[in-house]
Amino acid sequence: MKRFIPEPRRPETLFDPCIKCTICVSACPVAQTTATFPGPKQAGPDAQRFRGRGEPVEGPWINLCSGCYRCQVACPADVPIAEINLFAKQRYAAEKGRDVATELLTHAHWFNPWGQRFHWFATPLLRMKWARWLAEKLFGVDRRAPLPTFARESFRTFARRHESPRAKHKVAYFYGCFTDSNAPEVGRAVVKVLEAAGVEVIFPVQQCCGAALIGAGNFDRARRQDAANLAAFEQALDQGAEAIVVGSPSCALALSHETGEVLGLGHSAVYSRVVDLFTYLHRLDEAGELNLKWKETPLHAAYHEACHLTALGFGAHAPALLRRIPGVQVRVLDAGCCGLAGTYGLKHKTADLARQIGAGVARRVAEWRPDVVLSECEGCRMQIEHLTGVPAKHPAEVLADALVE
Amino acid sequence: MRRVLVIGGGLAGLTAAIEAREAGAEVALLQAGQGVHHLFSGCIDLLAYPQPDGPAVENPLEAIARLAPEHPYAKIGGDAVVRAMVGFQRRVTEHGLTYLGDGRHQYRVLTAMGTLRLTGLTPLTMAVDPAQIDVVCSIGPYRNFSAGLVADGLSRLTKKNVRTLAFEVAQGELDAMGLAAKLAEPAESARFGDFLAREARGLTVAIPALLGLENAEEQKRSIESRFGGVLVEVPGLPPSIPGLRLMHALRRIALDRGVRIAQNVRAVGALDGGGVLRGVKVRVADLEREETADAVVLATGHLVTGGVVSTRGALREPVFDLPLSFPAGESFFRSRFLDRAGHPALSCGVIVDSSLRPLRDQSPVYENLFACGDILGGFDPYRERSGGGVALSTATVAGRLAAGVAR
Ligand SMILES: Cc1cc2nc3c(=O)[nH]c(=O)nc-3n(C[C@H](O)[C@H](O)[C@H](O)COP(=O)(O)OP(=O)(O)OC[C@H]3O[C@@H](n4cnc5c(N)ncnc54)[C@H](O)[C@@H]3O)c2cc1C
Ligand code: SF4
Ligand code: SF4
Repeated sequence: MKRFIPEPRRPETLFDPCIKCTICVSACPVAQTTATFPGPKQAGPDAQRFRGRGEPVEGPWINLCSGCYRCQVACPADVPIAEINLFAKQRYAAEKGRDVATELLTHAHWFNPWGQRFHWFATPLLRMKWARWLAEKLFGVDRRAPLPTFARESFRTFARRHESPRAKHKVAYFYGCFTDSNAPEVGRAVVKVLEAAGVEVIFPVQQCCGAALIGAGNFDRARRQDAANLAAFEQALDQGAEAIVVGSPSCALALSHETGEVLGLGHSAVYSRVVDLFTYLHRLDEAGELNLKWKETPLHAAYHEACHLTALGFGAHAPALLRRIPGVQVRVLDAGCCGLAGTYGLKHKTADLARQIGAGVARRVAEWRPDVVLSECEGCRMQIEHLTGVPAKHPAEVLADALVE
Repeated sequence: MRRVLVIGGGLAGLTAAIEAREAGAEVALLQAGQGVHHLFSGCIDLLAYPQPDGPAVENPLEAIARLAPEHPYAKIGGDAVVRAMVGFQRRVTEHGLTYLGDGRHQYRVLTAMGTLRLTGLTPLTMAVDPAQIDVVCSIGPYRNFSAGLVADGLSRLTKKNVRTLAFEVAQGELDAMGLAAKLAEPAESARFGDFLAREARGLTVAIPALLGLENAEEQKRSIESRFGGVLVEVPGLPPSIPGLRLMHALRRIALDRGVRIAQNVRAVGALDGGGVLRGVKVRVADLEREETADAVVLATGHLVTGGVVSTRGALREPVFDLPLSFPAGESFFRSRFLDRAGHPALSCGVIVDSSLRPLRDQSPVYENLFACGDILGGFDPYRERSGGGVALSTATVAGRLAAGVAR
């Protein structure tokens, strides 16, 4: 057994264990779709040797890595390939800068409050052809890409007035920007399910997890946000929260791994307490403490496991729980990456590639014709709706609707 | 419900998980990376060379019955091998894969080197007598296949003049995965079929193994219907599409049956309950947590995938520190890469009893731990050509025993 390691690992130094097996290359959705990206082995461990001080940065191809983590998940030698690529993107951006689309899309949390305040204007605006055309020309945001709608009331506002009943278990909920501004119904469903399961939910003041910023190599900005998040959630743990439940897999990955390993924010008690909702419910169940009652809910659902949920290493616990609801049929898609990958599917430069990557998911959904596609990740939900026209939901929404109150 | 934890996502791990699930257990499979499928031809070898310097055997099941007692096949017995084969063939047809073979004879499959290899179970797309092949067709711009080399070898073997053809599916550089995806597009398949109709109507044509990851058999039939001949896949260098095809099918079978597959997670130690395992300690990057279970199946493979690791001049099993069968005083590797006698390091592995429980000083280390696949000692999958068969059949037994039912 290895010793306890107080500081998180440093992925940018971990290229040596590569045994050159090329397993990662056959797992990379981008390398399979375009010859312009050399693939994870060359982009990651191979090139990393030559990224010392004074070495010139590579070509813009490094930005074709979508950050899906599939290479890292597939590697048998534990090479943190996707994280190495993040460092390479940072290095590239520091020298060559970032394009407007990337800057815009990774700072969505700046615009969200405005989009929200003026939702009656912003949502229809984002549906207008001329506005989208203009946004593509001016900012490089693909005019056909899926964009979210703004909610009337943010989740934050709901959370401020919501008092969770005291209970045996207590968790802190990290809801994330998308749930806050664009899908507060997901947040309310998560809270409803947790409370029904006998869990008190608290809502520490939080900022954007920075996942999109990290993905674009903008570590400085992300560092400021996550330092604040760590402080807020460490305090929540001190106040008796036993876990930090995160609704969105990419936020969870940012808070539990990227914050320490990529941003270098040092050790924190937060990392190992971060779980997705369904892993938390599974733990309650294993302890014999999950007593939820379901009503008959006829539903034929396809479940899509988000790449970042896979990277978290818990596996998908949602299908098994959903199958307990009488009438619900769930089949796991297992058709690869949907292509959206944060901002990848939104930028004009990569949107077509993203749609090609998602073709496998789209094909399987078209074959099965489910009533709904379920996924914890909002990016996947947007992209799958965009590609297939089948509505997509967070699996917590199905649980919340099926609860006997 | 009995909870079974399987460690490893290769042929052995997936098979054990499916088997345990079918036997009624709640099953979670953990894997630190992918198995060796992407290096794997797609053919399931049963046994071809039981003796280092002996001839090839034509009837694998008969040879299995005569193996030394430390061989994994000998521990589980020939009947278990037959049951595993039949179970495997039944399941993969659910996902559109047909595997031919009954264990009583060998198939001869053409390789990308223009040689023949013996194998026990073969995918339908490769199951053609090489003597029937008239034409070898390359698929451009795939670099790892030389139609000339294959045709030369084949001509020499069959004393028949084998022609070559070249078809282009794409421009620029795309690896096997990209090319297979391109060729699987209905329009490309049709264009290929029409090309063969002009150049090789009614003939038997060998191509590199680049039919799609999904629906390969359907694609084969649709191309064949256009040129009225027979299409044969030739397995070659990694990434191997037939190997990945098989992995995808097994994964989906496992998921359809409700196995939870957690990836990116490495088992690093035992949760020791005094002679029984309560579960395992696992790690994602630096974060450690526990996974509890009523029984554990160890299917972590060998040197390539970290089931066995070499540290400071010794070979170790890193999860439970199980004793390994390694002949004392032997060096790991012989000096010749393709030595007929194999390499000692490759036949070293976990020592087990007839219930596949790892042993220390002749008694089970944990009564609820079972091992299967490449991690087992007492055989050399490469020299014997028995890797796939041992993985399938020992996993079938381990999965059932872990689920608490009779083998
Ligand atoms: C290059 C090559 C080609 C081969 N070709 C053939 C062939 O054509 N036909 C044939 O029959 N056999 C072939 N074999 C033999 C092959 O090794 C076996 O047949 C079989 O695939 C082994 O399966 P396995 O599941 O035991 O191991 P693997 O496929 O190696 O899988 C091991 C799994 O365990 C995981 N793992 C390891 N350690 C841990 C840990 N601590 N925690 C969690 N997970 C862990 C790995 O990530 C991996 O998922 C080939 C082998 C190689 C290396
Ligand atoms: S999978 Fe890992 S070990 Fe294999 S080539 Fe890629 S980085 Fe190297
Ligand atoms: S993170 Fe995804 S896109 Fe980037 S190299 Fe890895 S597999 Fe490819």
